[in-house]
Amino acid sequence: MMFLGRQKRCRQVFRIAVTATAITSLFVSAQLGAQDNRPRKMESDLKVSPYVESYSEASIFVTALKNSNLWSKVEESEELTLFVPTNSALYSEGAAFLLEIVLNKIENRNRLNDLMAIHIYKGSLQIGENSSREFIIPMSNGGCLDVSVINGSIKIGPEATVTKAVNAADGTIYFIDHLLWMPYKDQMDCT
Amino acid sequence: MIRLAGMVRNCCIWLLSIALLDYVLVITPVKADNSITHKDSGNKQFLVETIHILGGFNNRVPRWSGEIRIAVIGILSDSVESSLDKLLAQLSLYSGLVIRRIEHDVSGVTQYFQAISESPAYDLALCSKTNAAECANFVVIVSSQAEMYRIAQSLPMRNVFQRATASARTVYCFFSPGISHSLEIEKSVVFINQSLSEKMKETCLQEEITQSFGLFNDYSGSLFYSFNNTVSPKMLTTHDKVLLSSLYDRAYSPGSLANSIANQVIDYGLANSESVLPR
Repeated sequence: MMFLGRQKRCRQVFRIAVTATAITSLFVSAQLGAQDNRPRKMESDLKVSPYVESYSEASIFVTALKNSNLWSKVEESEELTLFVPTNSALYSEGAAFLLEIVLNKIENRNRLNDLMAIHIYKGSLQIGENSSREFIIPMSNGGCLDVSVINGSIKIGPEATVTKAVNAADGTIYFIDHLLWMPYKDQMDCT
Repeated sequence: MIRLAGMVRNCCIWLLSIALLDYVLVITPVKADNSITHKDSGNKQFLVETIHILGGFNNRVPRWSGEIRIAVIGILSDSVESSLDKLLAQLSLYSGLVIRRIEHDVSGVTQYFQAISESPAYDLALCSKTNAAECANFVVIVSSQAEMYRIAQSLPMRNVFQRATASARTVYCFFSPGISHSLEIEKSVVFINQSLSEKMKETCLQEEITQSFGLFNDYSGSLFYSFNNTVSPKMLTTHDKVLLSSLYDRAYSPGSLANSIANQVIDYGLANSESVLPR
């Protein structure tokens, strides 16, 4: 009888354990499901240009920027904002080949300059992720980029999302997960 | 006491097993393997598919040169319109071409059919409602198959499209380009069967419009490209974008040899190992 009582107790303990594990699993799943899309934020004493030069994950974009006629503007600007797609983002979306091979050629230099210009904003642009809103960034080439902030996630243009933001000594760097490109817009859409 | 210890031991084993199972199923994220295996057979397959998509080793591949002005006849839902705009933005990025939507006054397929029937040869007959000088050179027609058959008889399309749209078999979608003697694509028509689901309309738009840019051929069962002859929802692959980038490299002119366009893609893939061309 004592033996059967112990077996029964063991089964009870077993049932409690299974139930507790199931509840724990549901909790963990819920936590995983509620992912935090807010970008990581960092501060740096470096200026924008040496920071991105030293950041290995920005090497493809920085090389392309140096091949264009805009790198000197990045170095010489007193205050600027740079949108930088990471190497892994470029490989993932199939754009690394475009930047490393195609746009590296002299025949495509104008295309490269136009593309790089979209990633540079004169002035320090602080996009706060604390409130939901939408606005437009006017670009130096006359076009504009839509920016939307939803639940802390910052979306630039049609596809790019900010993954990391760095407040540098002379501006801000937003690391993004897609190249920026603007669908054609009539000028009036940018006002 | 010994029996109790044994029972406790068995209980603990059960609890540990459940916890481990939980960890594997819930906590450990499932990572998709995005890399391709760069064995010789994989590289060869990639070359074979790439050359086939471009029309054959010595084929001279046409492409667009100037601005593309695209107009849509028929009705698309908001979500399909949105994905069309995203696709056009991507195609503009990888081709380096300006691609604009033309807003026009043609209310539907019937009115469009009348307009092209009365217009000079191969005039797509869709001009901006705000600027009559700006006319579409790329038309997307969302209609029934019967309506498309009538249109196909009025435009100088290949007979295959007239026969296909006249047949009892359901035609989901196709594209028909107009190419100059200098191998520049000057016009294109894309047909989307209005009976398709929203997801299939998106897929058709994506595939037919992208192929209209010069990636003309399908490769059945392709491991790398979305142009694989399957009727299922899909998205542009990284390989599609890479090949498009190469085709629109201004270091080559329209009508460049397929093997030249393919070779720089292959060379890049071999040089950059598995990280370069994830699927």
